[in-house]
Formats: sequence, structure tokens, C-alpha cells
Amino acid sequence: MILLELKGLTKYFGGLAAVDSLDLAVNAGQIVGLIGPNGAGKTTAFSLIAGFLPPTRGSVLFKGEDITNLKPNKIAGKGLTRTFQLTTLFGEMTVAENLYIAVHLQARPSFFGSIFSAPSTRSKEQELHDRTGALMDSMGLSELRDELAKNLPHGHQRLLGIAMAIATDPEVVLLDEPVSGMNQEETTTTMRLINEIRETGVTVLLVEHNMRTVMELCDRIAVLNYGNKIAEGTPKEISEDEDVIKAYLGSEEAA
Amino acid sequence: MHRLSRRVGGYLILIVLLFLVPVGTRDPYYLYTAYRIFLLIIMAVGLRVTMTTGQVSFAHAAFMAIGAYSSALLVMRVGLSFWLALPLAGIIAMVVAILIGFPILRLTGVYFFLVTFAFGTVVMLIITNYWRDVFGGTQGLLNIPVPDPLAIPGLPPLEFTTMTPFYYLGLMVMIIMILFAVRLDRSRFGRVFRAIRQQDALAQSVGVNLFSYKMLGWAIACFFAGIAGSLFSHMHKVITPGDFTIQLAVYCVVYVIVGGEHKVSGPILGTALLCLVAEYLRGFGPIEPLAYGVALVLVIVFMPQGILGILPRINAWLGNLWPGPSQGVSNNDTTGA
Repeated sequence: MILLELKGLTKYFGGLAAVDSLDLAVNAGQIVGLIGPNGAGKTTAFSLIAGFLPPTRGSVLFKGEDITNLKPNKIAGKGLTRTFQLTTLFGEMTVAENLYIAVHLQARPSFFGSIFSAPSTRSKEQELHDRTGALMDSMGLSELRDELAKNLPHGHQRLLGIAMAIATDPEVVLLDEPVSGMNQEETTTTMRLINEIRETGVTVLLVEHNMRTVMELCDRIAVLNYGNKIAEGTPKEISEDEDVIKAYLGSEEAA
Repeated sequence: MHRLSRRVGGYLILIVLLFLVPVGTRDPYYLYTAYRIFLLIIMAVGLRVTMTTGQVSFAHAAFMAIGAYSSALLVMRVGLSFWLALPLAGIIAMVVAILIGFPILRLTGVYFFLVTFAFGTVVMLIITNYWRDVFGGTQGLLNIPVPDPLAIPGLPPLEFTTMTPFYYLGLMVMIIMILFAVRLDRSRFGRVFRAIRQQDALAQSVGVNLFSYKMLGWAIACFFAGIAGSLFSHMHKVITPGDFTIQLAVYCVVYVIVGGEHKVSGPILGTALLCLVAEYLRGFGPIEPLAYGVALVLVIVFMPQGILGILPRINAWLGNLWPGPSQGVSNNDTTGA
């Protein structure tokens, strides 16, 4: 079943096509990688899908529904959440508080209930509390729950970013360079986590530079270069594709 | 736990002392000054709510004016009791805020500041120059009635003939508003406000509707200003457009920034301290604005978290004598857990 589909998605910045007529279909339950050299348009594509940028042309279909011009929070409400490249967190808040904001979608709290801690609100809060607790356990963040996000080591900051996306209970999660800046051990842990996320039924679309990660993790890979999709297939097919090798290795230097 | 109970104890002692002030002095000057400070604290605590979502408003004095004029007119023209006009003044200010919020809350930063500045000016121009038979033009409204006597079971009715009952009215309303602001801050709404300010894109990506939350914070802030306006008009008995200048709006922002924004106690400390300093400086001619300007620059340069930011250090010097927020500047104690 196709869960997420991009049709002719195009974004111009001035005269430059950052993403050019991108077609892509993501099946439910898969891990799909979007790769390509720097500036190939991968992050722009993410921003278009998640509603942070309006596309110049083309459309995004999620579960068959056109979500092209919806706001990011609406898209998140429908079950598609992105993470950010680098570390975008609520730095002045603790790990637990960060996750608490992210479970927002399941809460829909009443205003006066929250202010005066009505019993109904309190039981709901307790439920969310448990949920953030379970999430921190599964992500290995429990011991850091009261640390300010800005004080976490880099690897844990990235994990918290992923945990926050998962906290919104999405059907599709877009991970923007989930293992960038991580050491070998952290990378391995994160890859295992991403696999676990998929096993809980969440479809994953990820952008990544780390080739080993992409090749080991993904069921399918799409390769972008200068905004165009130049190849799509299984990791094995991609690693043997001549256009891809040319785009990555070029004629002068190794990537 | 022990630390928490000690802090609550400290606040309780402070409240009891405030309640005892009129027993110690009946000098209307002190009680009047205190009443003014209570109102300004309500203003500053309210303004901080919208500032936590990242929106700095310079229309706060105008919303106080909306509350003041609404309340006075509701009592004088419609014949409502002050006790009904008081909440209605807050609600009217809030409704106006919501209407104007639809176009302006899409703006942030300096653009929001400019448009609130312009809106405040327009409100004051309308009050000054249009419908003079309603608003009274530059002369404003005269003979605004004091609140109706308040019947408290077991006590003689509270007549608003001296400064003392006004002092208690201001103190009670201020305490209620502060408690509301503290509850709000610790609720998930308060958390989402701070999240929006720190990383609005991330907040949006996890499903936060930025516009509705900013609207909520903005409406609450203006509700506070409306309440303060009502309290102002029925004590002064005369209100003119000159009571709600843009200077007042600027002062409110200064109170919040000097006190520190990250907790409700910030604007309370900032307002109390700057007002007392201003009261002292009054004898030296019109240097109040200058003093505020200097205070603002010094705070922004040397104390980015305001007075709240240096409390832990003062606390350390005093060897933990101060029962106040000794946790310092971290957000740990705002989790309410």
C-alpha cells in the first residue's frame, strides 16, 4: 500500500530548481532513504512534504489525501512528522518537558481543566506522563530526563529529536540525517532504534549522508542530484547504478 | 520538599505582611502608591504571558485604557455594579485583543512591536478625538463612582471611602491574577508558550498550532490589562487619555525585562523595584524615564535574565537566608512535578 506519494514535486528558489519534478512513492512499513550529494535538494524535499515550504508545483499525497498546502501542525495531526537536521530542540527545557510538548497532539487539553488541575485533566496528564516515560526508556534517555536539552551530549540530542517525532504517534516519520555527528557506537544504536520504530508499524523516510547506514537500513533508496531523481531501487541496485556512482564519485574526488 | 515548603512559607509571610500594611499606616500616600504598584504588577504579569510566546506588545497601555473606559462606562451609562464591570472590563479588552489578533499575530519580532505600537496609538487617538459625548475627549471621564460597598459575611460592609479598602481590593485582585498566571505557567499551555518561543518550527512539527497558542497568550495578556484598567478608573474617579500613554506601555515592557521573563516572579520583582526607585527619584525632578532607560540598558547588557538571574548569587552571599527562588535560573522548578 502506498502511504506517501510525491507527484511532480517542484520547488524553485529564484531561478534555481532545488527540487525538480520529484516523483516518489513510499509504501507502508518500509524504510526509504533519500540520498544525494550536498545541495541535491533532500532537505528541501522534506520541508515541502512536511508543509514548511510551499511547493512551486506538484503535490504531496498522504493516505491518498492531498496535503500539499496544509500547515505543518495539521500535517503532524494527520500522522506525518519530521525531525530536523542538526539539533533543533527546546534547549531551555528538560528532556521530559521536550517530550511532553511533543505528546501535545494526543492531549487536546481543556484550558480551565489544565489551569485548575481538574481530575479528568489530571488522569489524562498522567497517561501522557506514562507515555513520555515509556518513550524515554525505549530511547535510553530516562537517566537524562531532568537535564536541559541544550546540555545533552550531541548523540543524545539527536535521539531526543527522534523521540519527539515518535511521541506524536505518526504513521510516517521523516528523519533528517538521523546519525550525523554520531560516533560509531551511537550510530549503531540509532540504526537499531530506527529498525525498532519500523517494527512498531511506523513508515520511515530518511535523508542521510552516511552510506553504510543507508545501505544497511533502507528497503528502498531514491537518489537526488541537482533536484532531480536520478535513480531509485533497492540498496543493491543503487550501489551498482552508474549514474549514482558518477554523481557521488564525480571525476575528481571521492565522496 | 523541605525547600518547597520553606518557599511557600516565605510567600505566605510576605502576603501576611502586605495585609498588615494598612494596620501600620493609614497614610493615604503609601496606600495609594501600593495600589498603583499592585495595578502595574497585574499589567506586567499579564504582559509577560504574551512575551513568553515571543510577542512583545507595546499596546498594553491601550488595553488598560480599553478596560478603564469600558468599566467606567458600564457603571455610569449602563448602571452595572462595579463587581460585574470589573470582569467585563477584562473580557472586553480580551475581545478587542482577539479581533485585532487575527491580522497582527501573524507578525513576529520588530514587526509585531511596530504594529502594536501603531494600534495603541490609534486606540488613544479614537478615545481622545471621536465620540466625545461617550469618551469625553481630552478631558476624559469625570465622577466615576467608587465600587459598591462589599458585603463580607460576619463583617461590616466594606465601604470604598478611604484608601484602605482600595488597598485590600488591589491586593486581593493582584494575588488572584498572580496565582492564575503561576498556574498557567505550570500547565501544559505555559509549556507550549515557552516552546513556541524557543523553537517555533519544532513546535509546529510536533503538531502545535502556533497561531491559536499565540492568540491564547495574547488574549490572556490583554485580559490582565483590562482588569488593571478597571481597578484604575474606579479608584481615581477621573480618567483621561493622558493616563494611558505609550510611555506606560514602554514601562510595562521594561518591568518584565528588568525583572526577568522566565518566571512569574520576574515582572513582580521588576515592577516593585522600579516603581519604588521611581517613587524615590520623584523628588529629583523628571528623571524617572532616564532612570528606567539606564536600568534597561544595564540589565540587557549585564543581566540577560533580569533580576531573577542574579537572585541565586545574592542568595549565596546571604547564606540561604532568602526563602525565594533559590533554584536560580534553571527551569527545573517550573515543571510543577
